Amino acid sequence: MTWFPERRQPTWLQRFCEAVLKSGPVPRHVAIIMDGNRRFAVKNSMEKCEGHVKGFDKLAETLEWCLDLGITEVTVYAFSIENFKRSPDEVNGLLELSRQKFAKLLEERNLIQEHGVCVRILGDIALLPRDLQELLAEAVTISANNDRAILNVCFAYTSRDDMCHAMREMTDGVKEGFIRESDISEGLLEKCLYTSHSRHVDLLIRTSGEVRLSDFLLWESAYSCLAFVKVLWPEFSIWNLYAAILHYQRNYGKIQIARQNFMIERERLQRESDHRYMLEEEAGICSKPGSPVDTKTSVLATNCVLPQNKNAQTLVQQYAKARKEREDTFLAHVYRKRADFLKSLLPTRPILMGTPSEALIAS
Amino acid sequence: MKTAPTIQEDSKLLKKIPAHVGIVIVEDEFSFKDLANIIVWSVALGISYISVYDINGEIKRNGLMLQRNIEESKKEVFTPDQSNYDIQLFSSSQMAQEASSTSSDNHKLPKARVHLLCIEDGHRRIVNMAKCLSHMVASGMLQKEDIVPSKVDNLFQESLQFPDPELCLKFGSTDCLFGYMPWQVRLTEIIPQQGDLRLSGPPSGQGVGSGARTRDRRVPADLRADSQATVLPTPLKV
Repeated sequence: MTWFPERRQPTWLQRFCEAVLKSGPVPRHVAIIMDGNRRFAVKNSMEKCEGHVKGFDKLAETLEWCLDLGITEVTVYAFSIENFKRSPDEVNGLLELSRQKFAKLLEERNLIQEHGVCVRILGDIALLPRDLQELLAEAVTISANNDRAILNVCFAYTSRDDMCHAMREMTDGVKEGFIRESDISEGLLEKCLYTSHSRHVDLLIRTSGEVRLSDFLLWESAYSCLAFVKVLWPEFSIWNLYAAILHYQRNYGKIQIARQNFMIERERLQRESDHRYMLEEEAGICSKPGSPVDTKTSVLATNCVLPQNKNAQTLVQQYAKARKEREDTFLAHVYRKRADFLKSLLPTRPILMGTPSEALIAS
Repeated sequence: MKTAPTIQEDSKLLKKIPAHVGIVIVEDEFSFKDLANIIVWSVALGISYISVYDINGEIKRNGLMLQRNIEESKKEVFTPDQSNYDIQLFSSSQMAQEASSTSSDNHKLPKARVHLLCIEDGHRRIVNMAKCLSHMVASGMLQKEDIVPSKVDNLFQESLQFPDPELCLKFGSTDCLFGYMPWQVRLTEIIPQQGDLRLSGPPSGQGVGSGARTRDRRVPADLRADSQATVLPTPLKV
């Protein structure tokens, strides 16, 4: 089946429900653990692989429903690093299915552009077979400039791996002098995750009745509404989606407040940290270079070193500005590395962005 | 009030007892007495680690009050002649040093640890870990390549001194974890307890391991959930 199935006319009831739901807050970013493909296959006496195929078809359908509702970003858990531990037959089956689907997606490149869908891959794709890496890289590249909707596919992904990856990235940053150890913060770590370019996850749906996150978006979903749905993924219907959105709306107020407080607290901590390290920096100038400074002496030292025309506030602002610059340079470096990696996977032949004629004009 | 022998009897009916249960309170109002009861029942069931989380740190600040309530609850649940437990409270900021034993002469009693957590124990711990690792790499104590999930997880467990929670009981009507230990909830089963934290306790004479229906809100009944997702109440009725 294709990534862009023929649109079915919604029934009047669907249109009615959609209108009702749209009068309330609609999540902008929905994450889905598409669980239950294998159980579905067993239940319907199919091969496991066939269950996964049905699962993919459901995804294409769900994306359509999401777009209709105004959900502009969807993140799905396609392949966990843990999945490599499954039987070789199943792993190969899953990888083969992905190969086919992404090849199909590349065949349908006109449709991607038409729908304005941006495909991103989150995960350590270096763990995958080279040919699949190339397909993924091409899909990401041709759709990078689309902005109507975003589909994040978590491939060779676990959240802990992502966090460790971000930690290694920042460690490098410190070692290479881009940032200081004191610059490591919640905000910076978040910008090193694979989801750095994504909106906050509003709603996380898991099907099949399992009630755990299974190493999916652990960091990102800490302030998301969780919806555990009992049906198996291939059985997921538009009504299940509507119910999940209603569930989100019931939970919206409280989560929103908590999240806002969380962000305010984060900013406060950042200011506090800037203040502290500014003082240390000033003290460092005052005392002998290289000698250790603790906060008490640094406060004293600052008093002696602060120029008459500057108050602490201005110095904190200056420090914050410099820190921000360090972070920006560092992040630009990190993102460039990622882009270069993707580029290295692209085929040497020219990439068709849209219809052949468009590509000709572009070249 | 259910007493320890019946709870222990019930625990034999369970296939598996979680080592660590997280209690997440997303309610603005709750009773320390009920919370204490849940903790004591869990301990009587054989659970050794319990973490209690509320985003505002209300419980962490009121550790003493919780402790008093736990003492009260223990008196009701454990009769004087039978085996008792030493329930220790930790607020993670001063972790290991400040173990507040419930009484001085119970060194030999089996121990249960209750960790009181708040928002600071969420993302911030992961950031602190990142800083710490970066420092270790910079000073040559660690290779960058060692920053992998299994090793980082070991470091977390060392510093926190508890295993990942297998089960998380969420009290309150909002379906969100509100920042409860993002690193540790990887495989945690999240069981919502709809309604407020006003539990009367398991009814006497009825085994917690038997005849519990999916809508049963009482804690010991839900503790069976670790092995079977099928008995769980669904947060979302579709």
